Amino acid sequence: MRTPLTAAAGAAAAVLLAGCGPQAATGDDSPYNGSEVKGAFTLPDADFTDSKGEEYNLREDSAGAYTAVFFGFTNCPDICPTTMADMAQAVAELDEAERDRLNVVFVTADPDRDDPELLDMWLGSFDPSFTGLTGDLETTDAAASELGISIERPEDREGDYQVGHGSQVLLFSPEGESELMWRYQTGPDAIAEDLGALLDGEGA
Amino acid sequence: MPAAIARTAAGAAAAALAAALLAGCSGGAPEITATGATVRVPSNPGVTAGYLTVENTGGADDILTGVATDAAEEVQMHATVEEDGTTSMEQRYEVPIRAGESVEFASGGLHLMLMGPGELEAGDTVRLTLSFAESDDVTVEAEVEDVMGGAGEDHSEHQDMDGMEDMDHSGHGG
Repeated sequence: MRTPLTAAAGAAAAVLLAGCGPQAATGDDSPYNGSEVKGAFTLPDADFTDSKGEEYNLREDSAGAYTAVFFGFTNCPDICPTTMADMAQAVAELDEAERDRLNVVFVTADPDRDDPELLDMWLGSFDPSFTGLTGDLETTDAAASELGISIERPEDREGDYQVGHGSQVLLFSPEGESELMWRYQTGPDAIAEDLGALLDGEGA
Repeated sequence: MPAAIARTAAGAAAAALAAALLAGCSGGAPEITATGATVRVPSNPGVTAGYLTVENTGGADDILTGVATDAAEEVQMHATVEEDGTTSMEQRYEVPIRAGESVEFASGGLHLMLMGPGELEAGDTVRLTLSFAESDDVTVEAEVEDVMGGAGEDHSEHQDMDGMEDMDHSGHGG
C-alpha cells in the first residue's frame, strides 16, 4: 500500500514543481526581465510609411540596430501611451552609444485614423526619435500576424471606436531576429536593464 | 392647496426623513469618497485617460453609473481586458462599489476615457462629477499630469513595492 501512495505523492510533488516552473523560468534562469523569444519571429519584409512621410521597409530599414516593435493606435487612452512612456523612459536610462544602436518602432493598428502627421505628433509626447509606421490594412495585419500579434478592428469604423491588439513589445536583433518580448507593464527600469545587457553584450 | 394634500405631502417627507435616518443609524447607506484623481495630458487631442480611487465606507453597496466633466465632450468607463493575447477595452456602464470596498481606476485595468478633451496642460485641474445609483453626485478635482512624468512616478513605485509580482504576471501568457 505504501509504495503507490508514495509514488502518488511524488508525482503530485512533481506536478506542483512543474506548475511553478514556467513562471519561475523568466525570473530565475534567464538573465532578462522580458521573455526570451530568440529566433521565434523575423521582422517582416513589409512596406510602410514612416512618421516623416518616408518609405520604410520594416526588415530592411530596421537592419543594423536593435529594434523594439509595438503595435497600437493613438486613440488608445491607456495601454498605448503607457507602453510608449515606459519605452521612452527606458531609452532615457541608456547612454548615448546604446541609444544610437536602438530603434523604437510604433506600428499603427488603426491606419484609417492614424496618418503619419498624427503619429509624429503623438510620438513626440514620448520621444521624438521613435519611428511611427502606417501602412494599408492588409500589410499591417499580415505583419502583425507574422509576429504573433493579434489585431481586432471593428467592421464598423464610424465615429469613436477602439482597436484590440496584442500589447507586447518585441525586441529584434540587428539581423531582424526576435530576442525578447516584454509584456504590458514590465516597467521602464526592467526594460532598460534588458536593453543595457543586450546592447553592452553586443559591444563587448 | 387643500389641507389634506399638504398633510399627505408633509407626512411623506417625514416618512422619507425617518427612513433616511434609520438607514444612517443602521449603517445601511453607502458613503462614497473619490481620491487620487489624475488625468493625462492628451497625446492625441481626441482622447485621454483618467484615473482615481472610489471608496465606499458606508454600510450598503452602491453603483457608479457615470462620470462627467466640463473638460471633455464625454467620459466613458472602460476596463482593459486581455483574452488570447489580444488586449482590448470594454465599456462599462455600471461599476459596483460595494460597502467597505474601494475600486481603483488605474492603468491596465478600469480607467476613465475622456473623449474630446481638447487642450489640457500638466498642472491644470479638471473637475470630475461621479454619479451613483444610490448616493448623491460626488465631485473630485483631478490633476492633469504629463504622460511621462505621471507614468514615471507610478512605475518607480511599482518597481519598489511589487516589481517581482509584476514579473510573475508577465509569465502568464507563455
